[in-house]
Amino acid sequence: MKTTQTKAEVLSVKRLGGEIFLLSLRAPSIARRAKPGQFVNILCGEGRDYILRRPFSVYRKTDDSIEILFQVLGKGTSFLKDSQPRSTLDLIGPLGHPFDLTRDAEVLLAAGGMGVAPLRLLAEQLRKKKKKVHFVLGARSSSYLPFRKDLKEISTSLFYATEDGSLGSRGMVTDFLPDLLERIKPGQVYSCGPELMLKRVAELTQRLGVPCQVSLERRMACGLGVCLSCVAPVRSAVSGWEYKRVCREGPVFDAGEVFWDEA
Amino acid sequence: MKPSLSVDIAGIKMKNPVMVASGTFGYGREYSEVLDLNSIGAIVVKSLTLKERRGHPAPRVCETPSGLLNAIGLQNKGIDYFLENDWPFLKKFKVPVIASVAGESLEEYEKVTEELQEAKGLSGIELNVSCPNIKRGGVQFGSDRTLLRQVVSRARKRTRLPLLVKLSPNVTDIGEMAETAVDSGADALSLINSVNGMSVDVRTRTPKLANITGGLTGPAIRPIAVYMVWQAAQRVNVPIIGMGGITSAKDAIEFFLAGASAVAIGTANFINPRAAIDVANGLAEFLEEHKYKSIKELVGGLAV
Repeated sequence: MKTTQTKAEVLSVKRLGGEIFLLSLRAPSIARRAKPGQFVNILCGEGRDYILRRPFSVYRKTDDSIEILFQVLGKGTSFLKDSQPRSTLDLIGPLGHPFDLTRDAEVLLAAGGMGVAPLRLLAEQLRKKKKKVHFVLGARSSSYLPFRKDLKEISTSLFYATEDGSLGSRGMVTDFLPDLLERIKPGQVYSCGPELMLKRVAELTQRLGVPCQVSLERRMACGLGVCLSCVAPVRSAVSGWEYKRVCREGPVFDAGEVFWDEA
Repeated sequence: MKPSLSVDIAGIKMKNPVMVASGTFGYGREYSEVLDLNSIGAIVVKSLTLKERRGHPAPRVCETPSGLLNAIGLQNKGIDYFLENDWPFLKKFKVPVIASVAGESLEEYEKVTEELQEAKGLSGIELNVSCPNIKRGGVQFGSDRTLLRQVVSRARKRTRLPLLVKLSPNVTDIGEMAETAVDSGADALSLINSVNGMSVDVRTRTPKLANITGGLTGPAIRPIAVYMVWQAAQRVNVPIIGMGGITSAKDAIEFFLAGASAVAIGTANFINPRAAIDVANGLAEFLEEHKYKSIKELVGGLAV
């Protein structure tokens, strides 16, 4: 079976900085199959009179474990941060359409804030294939990038852009992207972050004729593709555009495919 | 001897009385990857319309205390696509499949019902007269006695299959609606569909749903659903399929006692894809523990 429902043992929960945490889970059946860009849907809580599962990208994995990077924002993530080692969490995964690993020798990964979550595993696997991986990280300030040290070992180059200038260049990723694309000339761009950022990344890469894949985020209920909650508008030959499921046809889409005007 | 879970709902023979509700199971393909469809009592597929429907913009869902607000907008690829693609997949399984029909006009309900006669092996048709998310059709049919009578009687003429009518809770007198549906030809009733609701993001001062309003489902609506099943059961003699926030066998038993002959699981499927199977197993354990011979002994067993 491609997807499984499994009880995963909590190995550790680490606060990286601020409200950003790293959750490590023992989940061999998911770890074995998870591809970069895929996610797991986690039941946060007893599941009784309940709250919905929360979807998280697979950030990193070993042979029998997966790691989730998350920011505490509400009930679900609050529950996760208090998880005790040796307790179990109910997971469904791996889910979603993964990134297409490129054959190009040089790639650029553009992450906005927590958008780094699906891109780290991608970077690692591309590096294993001897690709040059240029990682561009943007956030409000350096305190929102506590995971950056971890990315050094898997990046050919690391570029930071912070809105307050506390780290790297002052501004947003998209301010610097035209120059970076010009200088590096990557064969493929991968991006994840706020939707407005992705729209701009899509515009830039289309203008320059660089293939680009984006990972979208939507509120989800089932995460499997049955409830039709998590849709994004995608171009269609038949009707101009139609809604596709971010949990199933996505979360990864070709940047040129997404009908940004309706999104 | 093991207690029997099997039921016959208006001619539809089910191995257990736990169905999955329309809109929460797609057309079976996705869930077939994580569980055995044959263990389910019956599958009611996502509502079908005459032409493809795009559905509402996102956000389409919003979590609420013990519940879920949804405004999907009946996104589906239309009846023709279903007959060509999804039905051939579903009919291979040994589980009764009931097709849910929606429409914006009486003619649409008639046409879709008629086209479904091509699906050889289909177990039944459920009229969705109660979805609160379409601006025309849906909520109006289920909330108006005259329209309800018209849609049920006209659909009735187009099919010999067991005809279920799924009632809307957004009415003043559910018993009256139940009677009207049965008088117009319904072989069984399903209730309840989602309850009209909305939620506001106080930070942005905007509705959380792009459609502004939506339908509330989940444990929050269970007391409303149990009440309405009880009301309807007192007015009609046809089988009633009870649904609304069922998450466990105990929840399901409330409905049987109130008068339901079968139950359906909806929102709970999102939290636990195996919810329907777990509830069926829980019912089997309950029957065994209390030495009942069959689930039928619970139906209408409310002591008042």
